[in-house]
Amino acid sequence: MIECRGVTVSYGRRIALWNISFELPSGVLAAIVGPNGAGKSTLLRAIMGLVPLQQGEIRLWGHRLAAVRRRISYMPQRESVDWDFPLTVFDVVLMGRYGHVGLFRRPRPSDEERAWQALVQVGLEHLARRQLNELSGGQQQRVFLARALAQDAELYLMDEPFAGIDAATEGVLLDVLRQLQEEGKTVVVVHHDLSTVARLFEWVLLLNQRLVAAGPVEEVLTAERVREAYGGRSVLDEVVQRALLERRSIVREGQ
Amino acid sequence: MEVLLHPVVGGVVLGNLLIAVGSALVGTFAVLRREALVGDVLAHATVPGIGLAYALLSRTELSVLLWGAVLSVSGALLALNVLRREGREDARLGILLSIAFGAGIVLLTALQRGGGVQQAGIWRILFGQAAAMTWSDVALVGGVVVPASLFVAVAFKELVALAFDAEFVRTLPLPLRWVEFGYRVVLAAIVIVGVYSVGALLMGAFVVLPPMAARLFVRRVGAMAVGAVLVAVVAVMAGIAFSVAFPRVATGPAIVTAAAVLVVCAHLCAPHRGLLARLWRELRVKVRRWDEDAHKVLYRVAERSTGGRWEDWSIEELVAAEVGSRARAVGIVLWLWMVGSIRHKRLQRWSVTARGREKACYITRRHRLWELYLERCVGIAPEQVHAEAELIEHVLTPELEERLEALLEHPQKDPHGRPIPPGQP
Ligand SMILES: Nc1ncnc2c1ncn2[C@@H]1O[C@H](COP(=O)(O)OP(=O)(O)OP(=O)(O)O)[C@@H](O)[C@H]1O
Ligand SMILES: [Mg+2]
Repeated sequence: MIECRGVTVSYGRRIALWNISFELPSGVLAAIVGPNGAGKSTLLRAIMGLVPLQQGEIRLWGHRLAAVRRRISYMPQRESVDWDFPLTVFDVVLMGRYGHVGLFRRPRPSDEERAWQALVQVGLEHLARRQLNELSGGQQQRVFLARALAQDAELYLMDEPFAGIDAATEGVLLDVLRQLQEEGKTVVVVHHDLSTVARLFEWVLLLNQRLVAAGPVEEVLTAERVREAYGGRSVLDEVVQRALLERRSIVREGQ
Repeated sequence: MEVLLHPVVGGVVLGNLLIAVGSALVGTFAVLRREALVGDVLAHATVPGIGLAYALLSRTELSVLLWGAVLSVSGALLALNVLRREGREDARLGILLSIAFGAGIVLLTALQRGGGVQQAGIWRILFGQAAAMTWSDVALVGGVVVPASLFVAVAFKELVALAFDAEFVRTLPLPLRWVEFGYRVVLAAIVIVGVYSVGALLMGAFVVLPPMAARLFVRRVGAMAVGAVLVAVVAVMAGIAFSVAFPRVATGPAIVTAAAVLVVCAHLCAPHRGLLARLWRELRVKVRRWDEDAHKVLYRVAERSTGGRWEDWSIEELVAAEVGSRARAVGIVLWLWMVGSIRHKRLQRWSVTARGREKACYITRRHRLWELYLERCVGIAPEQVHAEAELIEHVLTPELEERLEALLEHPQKDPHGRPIPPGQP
């Protein structure tokens, strides 16, 4: 249903994606994995038409983007906006309905109802009237998640929703992903943690400027492929390093 | 109201108020988008167009010359759009501003040497002719401000969303390119008519100052826009009043100065975000710490120096209770006397009042409970618990104190073997 053919994207002279081709089946929970600067965010932005394609073509359900925007929901990286902004949590979630509301119209009660449901789904209803600059990082992430849910789409593209959240928010996120999957939606998530990819996702895109591999997790996630994507550093290195980091922070807290 | 009907003054006041309303509404979004410099570039870009119009048409009325500004500001907008990916934003805007303004000044001074423009001509373009607006000028200003304000009102929800998260909004199935375009046009138009009021040099500042002041007081964008309009209106009235009182003062700069003063006041006085509010919060915490530490000294004196006696002390006994210097002891005594925790007999002998004693027990009790908790439940060595408790004792809530006591099973002694004073009966 997402069909990329020979997609190349560059920022000025720097190439971010080189000749990417893959086909993602409908209804899967997919992860985009790769090191920093691999072009993961760029791939999502290319699918959403936010960066021009230098070459290649992207089709969604066989259509061009303009025809199917309504069926897609995009959740940007949390750092992409300034959270010191005079809006409330509910205002932001309601923005997820703007595509349904239409230009220059006021949101209908049904839109507010839907936004409220999304807020309940991520467990933030008690903060609906809270100012954005009074939120923690995890709460910000939930606000973006709620806004994406309020869009009622069929395809969800999420940029690093797992970044910088605590166990409770991670639980909410996993519930949401599971529910979307049960409803037959397609979800593509940029993910950083190699050690949990296999557990959480059924489909993986390994990316490092070019596409290293794409397919079901068990086929794609082999040691040498990952090493290829991460340029020599093996999965083992990654996981061991992460474990070390975690240990260190536990020790520090204990003091 | 009466002043508005005055044949001359009425036009001046109404014209400037219209510009204030329009620029405050549009400026709200310039501030939220962090585009203050864009307005400034556009304002400076009016100058070459005005010069060109004068050179070609040899007319001096601003209402004619501003059509030249429309041309040069459009050019600047185009340049901003074409160059939007080149270099760093601040450098890009700064360079564009200098080029536009430099070219304009060169043009105007050349014309002036040629005997065309009077000195006053350049002056009124750079600093506005707020006090010389005629009713036909007002009609022109209204013809720009009213549609601009209507646009902001109609596209409000879209403008807010674009300012907060443009990238997300662009993924929606809405033709927002046009809203974005409309915003630029409206900003440019407001800046151009602003030349009437505060002039090309200061209009960029006047667009963003009132919204910046309002931003500090509000929680929603709508309130910010309303607040910005209020601030801008006040600035205009103050500026006009000032230049009426001091006729040598130019009205436009007086208006912008008033707006700037209001911004400074807002930064000082705003609740939560203002400087004074922050200082006040810090001061309150400091005073509370000092007060509680002073009362702890009282308890220590009674416990160590005087052996359980609460009356009839000398300052020497206070100093002996680890107060440190004599100066500090005097300071503590003075403070405690001021808050009514001790009283004196001819400044020689001091006694603790009931209230002082209560407070002394209260703070010492929290200190020692916390010490005990740190030792027993966290496993910190008894020598180290004192420093930790010094910090936390000031922020322990009564509820937490109660739960601490229950958790520690109503202890009698702290880790150093000293008694923990009982709570209030
Ligand atoms: N707006 C931009 N202008 C110029 N270069 C950019 C821009 N955005 C990204 N890049 C470059 O494109 C490459 C890919 O960036 P991208 O943000 O897609 O990486 P990523 O895989 O999402 O990284 P991360 O894991 O850090 O989020 C990087 O080398 C980056 O420096
Ligand atoms: Mg990224």
